Amino acid sequence: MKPLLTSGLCGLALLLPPALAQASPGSEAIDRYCSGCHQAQDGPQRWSRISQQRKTPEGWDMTIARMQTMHGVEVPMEARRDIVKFLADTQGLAPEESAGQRALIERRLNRVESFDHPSYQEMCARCHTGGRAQLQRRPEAEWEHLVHFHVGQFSTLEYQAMARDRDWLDIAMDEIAPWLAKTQGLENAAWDDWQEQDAVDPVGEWQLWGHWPGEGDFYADVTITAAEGEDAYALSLDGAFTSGRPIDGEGQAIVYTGYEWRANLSLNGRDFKQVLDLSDARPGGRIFDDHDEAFGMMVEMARREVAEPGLMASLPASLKAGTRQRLVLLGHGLGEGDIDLGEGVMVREVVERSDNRLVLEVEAAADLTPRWLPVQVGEAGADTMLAGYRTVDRLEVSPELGVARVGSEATPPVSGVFSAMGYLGEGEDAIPLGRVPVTWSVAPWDEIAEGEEDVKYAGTLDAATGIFSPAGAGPNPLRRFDTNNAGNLRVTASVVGQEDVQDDAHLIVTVQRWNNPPLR
Amino acid sequence: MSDNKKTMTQLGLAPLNRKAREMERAATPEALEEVQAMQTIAGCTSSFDPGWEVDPFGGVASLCQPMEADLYGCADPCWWPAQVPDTMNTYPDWGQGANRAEDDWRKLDSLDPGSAVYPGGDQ
Repeated sequence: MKPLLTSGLCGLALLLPPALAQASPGSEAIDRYCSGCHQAQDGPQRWSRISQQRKTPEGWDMTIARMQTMHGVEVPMEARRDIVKFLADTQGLAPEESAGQRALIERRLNRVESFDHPSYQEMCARCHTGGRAQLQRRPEAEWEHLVHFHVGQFSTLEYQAMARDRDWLDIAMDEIAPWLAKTQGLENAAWDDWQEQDAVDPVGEWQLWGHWPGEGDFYADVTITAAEGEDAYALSLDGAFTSGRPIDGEGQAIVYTGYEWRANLSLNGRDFKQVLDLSDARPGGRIFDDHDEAFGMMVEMARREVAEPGLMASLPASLKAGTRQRLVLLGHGLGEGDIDLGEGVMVREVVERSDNRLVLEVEAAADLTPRWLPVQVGEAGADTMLAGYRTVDRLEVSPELGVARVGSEATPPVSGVFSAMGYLGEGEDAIPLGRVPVTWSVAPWDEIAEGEEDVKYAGTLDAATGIFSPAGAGPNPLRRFDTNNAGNLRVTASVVGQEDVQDDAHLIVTVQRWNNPPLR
Repeated sequence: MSDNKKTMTQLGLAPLNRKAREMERAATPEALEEVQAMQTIAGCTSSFDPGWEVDPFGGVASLCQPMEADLYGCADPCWWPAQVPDTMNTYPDWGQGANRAEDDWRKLDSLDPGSAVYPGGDQ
């Protein structure tokens, strides 16, 4: 990845062979704070143990934090930032290499991992996610060092379940390290190719859309400008929920490795983190609450200035027969021309119209035919973006298994955030309706949970939003054995007006964790 | 997979209460396959002895709870270091000033190494 040529000096540095390249604040900080142990070797800007690894920005930051905690190195925060920036840029992961673990970077934890190795899960991913190691690239000797570090630092590792039943160390050294070196070696064509690419320049006008749990679908104009600092940006957001309620905010961002966007955002007064993969023409990612990572929203973003007319999103994704509601269409070239939403859908009011956005009040006829509605706005059209329905055939709640955690001031609670998607029909031809109106309820998962009154103690589920707020941490003297407010629960969504159309999910409400690194 | 196919009872260990009986059931060779094949949610441990977030049966009833009663029994021997700070090597002072976790659990802070990834401040 070539850096953006923001100054003549940078441009000159690019033309020089590596040995003559300008030292950066990051490399100077490594020389100053790290090279006492990590000796310079094999040429300029190369250090033992450091130059043989590649990681995400979070991965490098966790490494420095570990050096501070475990080895007492003192690195000022400014130098730590410089080091993370330098190493993520020069020894990062290509978009292709991080693609399989975006969920981990975006802090989407309510999912079960699976790996193409018979024992990797038990050997490594029984303490932390398997994805944490999958976001690193090392030669075999470095993977072996990582095994030795684990045995030395966490010295009862071999006594724990799934280690004491096997020769853990030999398996780690003879099977796992070679497998990781083979599948995640230091050298990779994807990384070589990415380094030849121009870095993505995010400056400009964008629009962004997503769904805020409990609030609804939203869209916003986003303006990104360059800020002081290497690959630093400022952004402002101005938009609305489909209900008409405004949403606005601002933030600061840094781009690592030419595509890894990390921003601090304040949206409607609430603080969030934002992760985007800018390598895609339509960058996607997640906005989430750093203290309650389950509370987040998947978002997409697209440049507003695109020559080709086209539709990108419909909020909501479906219209129910016999209802009048607001519909927002996002895309390009929407400012002029006829608006046709298919037979049975009448546009009652054009609330807002621009080249990128149409906000409409629409009415769906009571006899609307359930199907994809062909949408045409001027020259922009989409045949499978907006669906019409009378009744919901099937409901799907996600996540299927969620983990919420009781909380306190020192360990903030982690919510359960569920969503219910409707479908018309079955199988490959099923038409997704997006979020449909449902009522949420909670019940004991099994007889034990019923006997222990988990529903009463573990927390409360909002019947309208599907958001579960866990109860407080600590021993509860009202419960048997003073047990914690843990619970084993069944969360059920029922379609409003079609109570027999349901789906449910498993919600474990469990105890807090004190160790919450960005990559779990 | 363990070579030892004996149950706890065969090894001379007798369960005394409900949780122990359930653990006995989990330790039978038949159940062992099921337990070991089970994968937990990302970020939760799948070391089910007895488990930090989830027990061997996929619930919470067989966890050691209230966990505060044995919290330092987890922290001191570095049992779930990804979830609970290990006071054996990494965070020796974590429990200082909170001598009895059942009473002092509010004093136990989350680890906060700061973040250099996101712009601004220390977060």
